[in-house]
Amino acid sequence: MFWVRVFALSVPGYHGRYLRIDAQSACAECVPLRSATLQRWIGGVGLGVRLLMLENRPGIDPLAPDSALIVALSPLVGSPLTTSAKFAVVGKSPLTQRVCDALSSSHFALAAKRAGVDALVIRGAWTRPVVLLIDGQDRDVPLVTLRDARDLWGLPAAETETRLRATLGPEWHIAAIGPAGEALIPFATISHDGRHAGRGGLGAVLGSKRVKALAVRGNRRTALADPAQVVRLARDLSARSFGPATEKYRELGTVANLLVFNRLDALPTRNFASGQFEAAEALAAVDLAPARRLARKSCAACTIGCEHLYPSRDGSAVRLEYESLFALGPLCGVSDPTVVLEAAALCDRLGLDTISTGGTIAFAMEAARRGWLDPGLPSGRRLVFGDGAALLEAIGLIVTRNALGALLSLGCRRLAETLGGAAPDHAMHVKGLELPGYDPRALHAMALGLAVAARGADHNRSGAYEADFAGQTHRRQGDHRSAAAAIDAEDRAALIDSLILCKFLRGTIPNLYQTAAVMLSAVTGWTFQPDDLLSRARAIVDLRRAFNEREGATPAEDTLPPALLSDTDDPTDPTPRLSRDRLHSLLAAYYQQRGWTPDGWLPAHRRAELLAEIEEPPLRG
Amino acid sequence: MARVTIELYGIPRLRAGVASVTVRAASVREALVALGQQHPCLEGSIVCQGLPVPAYRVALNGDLAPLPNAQTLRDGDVLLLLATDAGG
Repeated sequence: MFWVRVFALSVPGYHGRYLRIDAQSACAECVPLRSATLQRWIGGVGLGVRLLMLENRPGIDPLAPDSALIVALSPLVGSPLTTSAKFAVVGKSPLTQRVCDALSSSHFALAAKRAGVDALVIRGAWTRPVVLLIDGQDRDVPLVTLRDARDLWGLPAAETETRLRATLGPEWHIAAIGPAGEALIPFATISHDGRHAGRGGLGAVLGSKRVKALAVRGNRRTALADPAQVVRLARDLSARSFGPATEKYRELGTVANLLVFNRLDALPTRNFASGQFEAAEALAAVDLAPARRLARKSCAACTIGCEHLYPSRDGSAVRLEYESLFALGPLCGVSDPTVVLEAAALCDRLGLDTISTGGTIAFAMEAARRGWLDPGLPSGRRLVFGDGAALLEAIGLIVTRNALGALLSLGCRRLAETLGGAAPDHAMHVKGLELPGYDPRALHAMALGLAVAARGADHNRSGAYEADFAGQTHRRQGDHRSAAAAIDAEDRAALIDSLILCKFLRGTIPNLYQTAAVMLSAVTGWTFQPDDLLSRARAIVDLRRAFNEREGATPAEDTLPPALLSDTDDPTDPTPRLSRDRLHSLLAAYYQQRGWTPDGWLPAHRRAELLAEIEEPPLRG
Repeated sequence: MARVTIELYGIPRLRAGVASVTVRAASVREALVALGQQHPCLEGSIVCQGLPVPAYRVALNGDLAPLPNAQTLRDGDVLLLLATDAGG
């Protein structure tokens, strides 16, 4: 591997360049980033999607060699601001064929930033498994070398990390794929230190390049424009992060959602047949947390400490979040917490997104119940709701594509299309991404958020459920206020994911745009105004929409699975419903308030404006 | 005074060690005062003199609309004591 030296003007918070590594040309080069680009797209998801627009040609197969995979950092990475050690992985999803941005966190983000770049772009495919070593230690420009990864191929991501750090040294930090990424499963994850860039299958994109892992190290720190102010802000944010607004995450973790959602008919159960699970108490957080918990962990540079580790059947520690608990528990009708922990551990070892895994298996259980699918498993068990052993066996089949695994490996949308008939109506996805653990029939603002989200059914890019749960909107009679709430949640997420900060801080930051403007100004020295940041957040939402339109997306994709929609939705009915008419009204209000065309397209002038910025000629040093 | 059930979730349930509490109260405020008296471990950190602290809120019979503390209660009403930060 050769590298080309290209200078870039570093500004506080940024290195002012990204590193493009291309297998086809066996070349790595540093590409300068304009100040205007950084000011506009900030970092993380914003910068990542902007680079994806530039680096990917329209209509590309996500698993084709020249499909770009991007790791984007941000100006706050490496600062003392709590929870800022995060990175965004961005690419075109093999599951949805749409934009995908998945976040993860901890030391990999810090080391990648210290390698001396604001983003990594990986293109091409190697002929044999490799680890990309990106070394910015004592160098102006990072050196990229390859390590043969044939000895690591087949290993879980965690074991890959352990082995590489044992040989490379503790200053190296690694993001790796597991067997699912190697097998190009379209919902494979990229993992670092037990945390996963989970949704949308970007692990398969890395696997298609035969890159088992990215290893980074470096000691190039970016300056802070106003270090004293940044320290003051960091102290304040840390103090607030210790308060009652984050206590739930510290003491119980996100699994505490389960009983609340169940009480409010919002806990998806048996492939969304119901919003209540009769055995929810068996999986309750209070049962899981004090008696079973092994340990609590934090990401690097985080003062919240939301990660709760539980013992699996073999004694190893398993991290469990609400989304994994819901998807591998109630969604599949499973009530045994030991099985759910084992299923979550298995997904982690294989490198599978737990939501898509549970969502696909739950759909297969429903298809089997309806007679559309032979539920036979190699052991002789049958894939039926509530059978934990069958769930575990099915997960194990996905990566090998043995027997039923060949169908399960497709994800629920393609599996349903394969079965045909009425099956697609019952596949619980939006744009191909399996639904998270929020029943949209009981949460109408969230229903809209799920329908319009650019990467598909998504609780992290749209937190509209906050408005539903807070009573700011009528959760079972959504209207224009639900649309406003969905837009607000989407815009806020676009900014938080570009800064990048942890969303668990949201309850501690009363005015996000004001606070973010102060933070960014102190870090970069540029002057940011709250209104400018709102405009930038909206531009990021529009850019994702523009990417999807470029890939052939139409507003018809902004919908929910037909089986979730009803003819009427009388709010006095004890069973929560969402009618087709109401969803259409919500969409119309959303498009109108977003400033898109009445039928849901980006206005031509807006698209042209976004593309013009993307297509500016590159800077050369 | 009405006989009211207060359902506890998350941290309040963990601290109190019970899933629900039954109290006699005429209003939401009285119900929360009674909750704090029955479970002093909740007073100050979860409820404070009949008001939920800012990280918590109360819902009546599953309706999440904002609730005045003076809201009159009837026999059989169910109050949910919830964290304001839903989701994750």
